[in-house]
Amino acid sequence: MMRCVVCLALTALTLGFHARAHAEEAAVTARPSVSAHLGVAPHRVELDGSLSSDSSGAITQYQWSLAGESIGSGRVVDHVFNSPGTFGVVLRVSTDDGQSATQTISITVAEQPWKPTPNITRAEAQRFLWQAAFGPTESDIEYVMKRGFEAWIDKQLAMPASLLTDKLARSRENEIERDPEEEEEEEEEEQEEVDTLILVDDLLIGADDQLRQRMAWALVQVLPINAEGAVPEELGVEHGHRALYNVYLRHALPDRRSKTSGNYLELLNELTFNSGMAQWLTYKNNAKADAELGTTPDENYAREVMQLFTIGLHRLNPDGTLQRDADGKPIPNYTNQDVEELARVFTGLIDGEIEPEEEDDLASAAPARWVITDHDFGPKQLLDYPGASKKTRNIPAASRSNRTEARAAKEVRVALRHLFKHPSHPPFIAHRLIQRFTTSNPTPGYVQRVAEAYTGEGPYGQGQRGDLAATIKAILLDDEARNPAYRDNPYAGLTLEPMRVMVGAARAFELHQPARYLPRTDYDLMWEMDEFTGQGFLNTPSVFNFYLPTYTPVNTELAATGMAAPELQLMDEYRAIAGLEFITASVLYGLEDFNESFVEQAYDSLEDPEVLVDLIAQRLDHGGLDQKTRNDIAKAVSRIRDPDERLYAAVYLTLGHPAFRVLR
Amino acid sequence: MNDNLDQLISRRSLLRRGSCAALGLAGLGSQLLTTRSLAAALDQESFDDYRALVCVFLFGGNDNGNTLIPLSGGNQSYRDYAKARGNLAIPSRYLKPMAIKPDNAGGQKFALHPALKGFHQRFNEGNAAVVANVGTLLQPTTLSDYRRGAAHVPQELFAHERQAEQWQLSRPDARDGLGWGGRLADMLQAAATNKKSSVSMNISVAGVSQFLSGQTVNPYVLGADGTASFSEDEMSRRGKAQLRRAYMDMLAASEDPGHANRHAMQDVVRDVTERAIVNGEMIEGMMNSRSRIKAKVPEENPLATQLHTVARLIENAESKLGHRRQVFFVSIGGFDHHDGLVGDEDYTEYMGPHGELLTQVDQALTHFWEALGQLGKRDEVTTFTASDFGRTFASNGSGSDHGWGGHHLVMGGKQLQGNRLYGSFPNIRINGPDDVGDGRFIPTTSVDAYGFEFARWMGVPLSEMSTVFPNVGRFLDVRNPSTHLGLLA
Repeated sequence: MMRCVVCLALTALTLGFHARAHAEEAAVTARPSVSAHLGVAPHRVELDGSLSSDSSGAITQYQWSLAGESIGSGRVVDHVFNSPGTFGVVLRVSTDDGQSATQTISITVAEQPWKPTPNITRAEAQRFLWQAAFGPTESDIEYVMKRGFEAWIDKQLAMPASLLTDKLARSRENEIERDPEEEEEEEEEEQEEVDTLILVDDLLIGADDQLRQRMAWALVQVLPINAEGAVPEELGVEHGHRALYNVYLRHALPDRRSKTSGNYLELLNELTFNSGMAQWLTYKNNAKADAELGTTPDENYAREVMQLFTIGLHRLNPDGTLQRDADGKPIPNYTNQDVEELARVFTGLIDGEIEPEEEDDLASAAPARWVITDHDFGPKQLLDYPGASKKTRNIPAASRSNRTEARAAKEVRVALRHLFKHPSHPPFIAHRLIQRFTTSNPTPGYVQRVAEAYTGEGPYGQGQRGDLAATIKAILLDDEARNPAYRDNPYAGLTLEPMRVMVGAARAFELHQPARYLPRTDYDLMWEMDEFTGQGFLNTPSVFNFYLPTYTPVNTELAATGMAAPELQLMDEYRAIAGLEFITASVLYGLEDFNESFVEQAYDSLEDPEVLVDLIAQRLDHGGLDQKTRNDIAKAVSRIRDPDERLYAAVYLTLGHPAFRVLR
Repeated sequence: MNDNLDQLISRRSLLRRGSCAALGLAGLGSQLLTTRSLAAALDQESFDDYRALVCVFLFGGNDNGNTLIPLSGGNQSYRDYAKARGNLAIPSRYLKPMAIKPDNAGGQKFALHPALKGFHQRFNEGNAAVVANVGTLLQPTTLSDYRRGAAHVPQELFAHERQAEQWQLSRPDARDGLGWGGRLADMLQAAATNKKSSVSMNISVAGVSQFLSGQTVNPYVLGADGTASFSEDEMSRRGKAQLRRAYMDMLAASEDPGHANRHAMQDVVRDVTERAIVNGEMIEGMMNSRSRIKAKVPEENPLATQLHTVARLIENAESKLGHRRQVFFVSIGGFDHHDGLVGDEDYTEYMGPHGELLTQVDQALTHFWEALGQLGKRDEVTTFTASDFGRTFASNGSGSDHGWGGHHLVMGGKQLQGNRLYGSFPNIRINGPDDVGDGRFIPTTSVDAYGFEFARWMGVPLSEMSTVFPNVGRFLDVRNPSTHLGLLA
């Protein structure tokens, strides 16, 4: 049946192709980029065609136009947009052998910068809560509408941290109705499963301190761990889930009870001394060089702590743009020698020891211990950078009497501080955190403002470098995050990752329930989430996370205009359908078990798809489900003839609508 | 019938992405063939035979030192290996049964990692070969070039994701994100796919793949086991069919050009989803159809599952997919063995995590080989490995760190001149003439020269090689076979 449709469609397609063929679809490609695709009028931009290429000839002409009028020629041109709106600038490149290609890049200009206003619409509050939380609840919407965005953030900052500790204890009390005949190994596996479910259900979905939950989830994608790969053997996998994730939660924002100030360096320090991280990145049992054996220290952590956790491969300007040498090449931040030198610092650590009575103390992750004889106490010179402090760069040899655990630990802290003080670090982290909350493509100005807050400066800074509370304020309250004008830009915002769709839907439909019910429902589907969606809880395939910050799908407008879309790395033909079916099924099971009143309401509307879709869209909306989109969904739902199948279809089609998938 | 056929027809997206772009080209005449690539491909007749290329990507950087080990008979021996590798060296008693004596190595003996038992057997039967010390290069490079920091040394060496990308692109200096498996398919697709085909000739069963992405060819992604969906029973069959069509139409409506809300990310979501819907039912039917493959898929071996799916796609290539050329991408991760390269007390001495992963690779390749045998396709399918980079020859205590050149495995039937070692085995002395530090060896064969062999065999005209591998001329003369590796007939 489908086959037939396809064949017919394809026969016709060839005609379409005929009509649309352009001489320009050739080996020459136009790739315009812009210094800032968003800005306030008058908005001055630099347009750059340098990434255009031709497979054989040379590009001889770059012509830039706007609404048919030339605005300049040359590889790089300047332009000022004096009035607000969204503008498609066309780059046309021509080669010496007479070929040409064009590409449009869209720039959106706002009339004025965003300023906090007393009247916040429901739609704006909903959108904000999809950015700052895992989706809105009624009470949060009301709070934001009444008190404003910043007040909501301040309220969140004052909340005590929800950790896994208490929740797990509670679930253990209830000791899930487990089948006594189940074998022991299965039990262990199930415990692991249960822990994941509790974590996701009680924290991501259910916890009130949503800003912290979101920040921890963002941080675990900046410093990615895999629970299975990061668990000291004697602790068991479930301990890894709890203890490790609690480290992220405690440091994500300030928490009085945990005595944390919400500082990135403190998080990095604690994670570095955590047995789980030491196992995950293999610096556990890492011995100093041994000339006799011909061994040198393991370089894994030294390399990744620089490349992924602090400074990145290349030297950055304060706004996150690449510094370049005289030949236009990016400047590496470190050499392999720097990696080797830093690797010497991370020597001598072994698994931490958990005292038996502490095993249930879920707040404590096992701190790594030292084998002093394995630590390299020789002098070390770490990487150089502009403004590097000699005190952190040069680690002198430890005298014989000073070869202690404390001294070894100090070396690690000094080295991490050295990286933390690197000028590339604030823009590097700012860019990665912005991508986790508001947009895949922050302009340099946005990155710089957030980086300033991160260093303790700007309107939100409190003088503390690494301040995550100031950073999140700068991310969420920036013109680029809040100004409604920018939503018209076709590169605005981000694609929601599977976890945000899943958890967001669970919150929207109030599917959170006390953990004790979970394993008895089909909700334990969550455990299989990564198989169908490409993403699960604490199961990144590597320290490079589920997707790369620079990922862009080839042969698309995004790639052609230099825009990133990390989450689209998980959008392929398999996951598009399998992931959607999986999440829809999870929601439907959850609805049956936990939200009868909604199901009743929905069942009453099965004959009226517009009402049905409205019921669903009202809960899920973040601004993308406008009236036209809702009508389109309702029209599609109406084509499902058996009314009993329409609830599934309506949820499926809403979650599967491209306008829902992109939070702009 | 689809009542929104008109909207479906005008889907620029379908034209732009996937092999739909090539559909029916043959019937349209040359006025359309303005791109050099398509024109070149159409100069040939349609292919009258079937060939497929399978890239097995070992993510994390496979340890080259323990993949191919010198034993005796040449200027390097097991003793040199043991000295340079220290505690990472595999004891010689495990290597003796794994000895190989490549036909073209002048009597020199090597050993394969003890986990590669099936590969070892095929090597000796002439159905497998090893290409030594392959890696990312901008041009032939010496130690002094590297030490000088010469401009033509690839950037971002030793960094995982950058090197994995450069391997797939073959061009360390590329900025377009197009892989060589995609670019070679660009050249072939017009002659390789027929009108019935609506699935790309480049198929990944391991997620999105840069390797398979060309300028006109985009890969199609299937789940590892070939299924296209999560479950069957949420809706009735009829309801599902209605939903599929309704979804398709809803997606089409969402692209209404008058809709001011156009968004480039939404476009991608829509394009991918549309392709999945258009092809899902056909693929599902294909996967559920009877198979001539009787070999049992090894359990708990995700790579074997992927390769089994590939074998099923090969089985149906001509009859159901309309493909005479196919390029596949499968992958297995976890090769970043900074730790556990060789076993500890829990394992037999040589195994350890690296040995276990290689065992999976070996069993998966063996299963694939059996399946191809049952399909009678061994002479038409060439399988090769790729990886982020090789690893340091020197030990970091219990593993090896990020290196550069690495050895790669190739498997095939008559088309492959097997039982041979291609390229040149590096000098494995630490701080020797090939070592940029701790046994990171400068590649002696570039990815371009390696890939060139496969592209040529697949039928890419020599005149188009500079488009598929823009830098290849720096390493070999495409028209002079004596400068080629000569891997495939």
